[in-house]
Amino acid sequence: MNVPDRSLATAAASLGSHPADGRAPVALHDVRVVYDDHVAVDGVSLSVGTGGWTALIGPNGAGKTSLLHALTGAVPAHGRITVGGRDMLALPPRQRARRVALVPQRPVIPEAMTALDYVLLGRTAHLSYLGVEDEADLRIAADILARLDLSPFIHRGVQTLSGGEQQRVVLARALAQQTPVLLLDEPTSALDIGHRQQVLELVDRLREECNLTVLAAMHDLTLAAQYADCLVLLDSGRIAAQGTPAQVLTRERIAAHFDADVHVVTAPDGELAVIPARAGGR
Amino acid sequence: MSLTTPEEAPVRRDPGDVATDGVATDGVDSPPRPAGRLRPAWLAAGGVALAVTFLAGVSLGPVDLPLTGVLRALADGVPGVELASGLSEREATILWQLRVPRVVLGGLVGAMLATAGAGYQGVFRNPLADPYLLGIAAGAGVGATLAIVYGPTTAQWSIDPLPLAAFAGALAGVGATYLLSRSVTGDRGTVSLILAGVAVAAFFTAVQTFVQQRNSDSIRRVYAWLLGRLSTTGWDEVVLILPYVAVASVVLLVHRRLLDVMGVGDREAVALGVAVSRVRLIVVIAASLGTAAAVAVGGLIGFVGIIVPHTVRLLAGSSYRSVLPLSLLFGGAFLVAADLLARLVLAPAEIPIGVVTAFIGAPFFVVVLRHRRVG
Repeated sequence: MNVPDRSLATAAASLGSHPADGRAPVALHDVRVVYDDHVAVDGVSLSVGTGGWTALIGPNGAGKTSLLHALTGAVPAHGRITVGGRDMLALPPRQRARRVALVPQRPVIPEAMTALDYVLLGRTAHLSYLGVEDEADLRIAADILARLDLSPFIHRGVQTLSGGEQQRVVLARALAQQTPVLLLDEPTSALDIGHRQQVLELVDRLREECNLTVLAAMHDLTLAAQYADCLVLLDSGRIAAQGTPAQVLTRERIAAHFDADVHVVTAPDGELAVIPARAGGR
Repeated sequence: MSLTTPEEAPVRRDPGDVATDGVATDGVDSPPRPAGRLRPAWLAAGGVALAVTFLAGVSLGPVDLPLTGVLRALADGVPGVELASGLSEREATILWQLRVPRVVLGGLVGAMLATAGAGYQGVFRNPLADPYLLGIAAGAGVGATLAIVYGPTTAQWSIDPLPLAAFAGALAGVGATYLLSRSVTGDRGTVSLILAGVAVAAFFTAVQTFVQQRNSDSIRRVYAWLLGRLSTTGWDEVVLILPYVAVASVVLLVHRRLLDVMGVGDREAVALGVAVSRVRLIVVIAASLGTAAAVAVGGLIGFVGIIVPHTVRLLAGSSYRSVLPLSLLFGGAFLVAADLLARLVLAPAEIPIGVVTAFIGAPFFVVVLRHRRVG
């Protein structure tokens, strides 16, 4: 993607760089999320390294989204969750939102809201309870939109944008929170193969530039293997396996947890690919 | 509230036009201006609407007062200004003891109902939410009916018990709704609150109807109250509701940005750093208290809480930064105008103001809706 020169210098400042402090920025200990009728997350313990990309994989209903919501505080959780050493479950929403930002799977986009106004929502955690955005917040939002090649759409209604553009606007809102940790909930499920690649490449570049820690629920196992350095396989709310893509993605394990028949192959460039196999072949 | 700096003002055009030129950031120095902001032109329009309806409201009636005399008398009323109005003593009494209190009361009630409606629509993310949603109307109805049927007359009491009973009933209604939603489902979501409101409203309406049917001699008075009416005895009613309307309006207005954030839904709003339950509780309390006060003196004036915020949305954009303050101004102007019509059309008889708000409000709303679709 082409990036205007101006934005490169300013965007780095706007996005904020998060120095690696040696501590695991995200640590979960025996985290449980219980809804009325079932246990969505059942004793998950996990630590995610600074600046890394960890992918949560698993079949539908495995607890991936609930785990991300437990981190944002959107669902009540038990256990212990720390980000940068601070106990997230004891923090008020504003303090939590300065530490983790979420790109939701199906974001609710208010009618007629422009891209700029939408990205400014991400500044909420940096304003006082009844505060309003000032020039600095506007500049941060505009810089991030420029960094994501969205400047032409800044005054367009978000709902009028294409799926790929919308996804980048939602990502821009999360980046405007200037958090050290970025949570992505199946960020590419609504996108075609080209836009999937572009969004994930963008996240990966931002991760490197700003030393972001990425925790992403991903349902495309091949993409998860390509972008994440650590995979965590969830099933029925528990961790079934974790490790490098090569350690986690085996044919047997995918058959056991996804009820899917696949080939795990190595592409010519050395990357893993998970390909569905048709029962009995052709 | 403008975020535009004076230097960029000449360069920047109307923010509504920027969308068409496709250019976003102009220059390194001035950040772009967000769209979802209150535009001064709309604020001015609201002020003008309020001023015009106010002047018409105090000048017109069974006895028409000369406009210049009214203006001079109003100016004379400003502390530090001495001006001979030229109005006779009788005209001055009509102005200050009848017309001005009534118009001010209408303005306060209309502003409160419209702003509260916008607030409810914001926290419930439901365009059909109105100020009477959470059992307020039914509660006030019970209170007013009991006061009319069993209460002392104004001759016995120094103050009219009707508004007090309606106010207490309204708070009882919304309080019962809140407690019911918390105790039955134990969750703080919006759906349980709205459903509890339905149950409470049905129950209170049943009580009210029963009392009313048992005492058919007072049906006319009860019915007149239910349809809404603004009648004043000097400044008593204004003094009674002013503190509630002032506090409730200020609380609602300062939450305008948070209501915009809550437009993305509870889970995302929490992830953005909003204490959703707390904001919802504060806004609901403020809107309910203000509505209860408005209902106490105005009866159940329908339509204002839905039609005014929606008209404002269609005309000036859906950000609560403009919806809330403009609903306040246009809500006040709308009810003052409606009350004027209610007094004039069949003078000396009065049409219930609730009938007028619906009668002129509904077609007007359709016109705005149509215009918006075509445009």
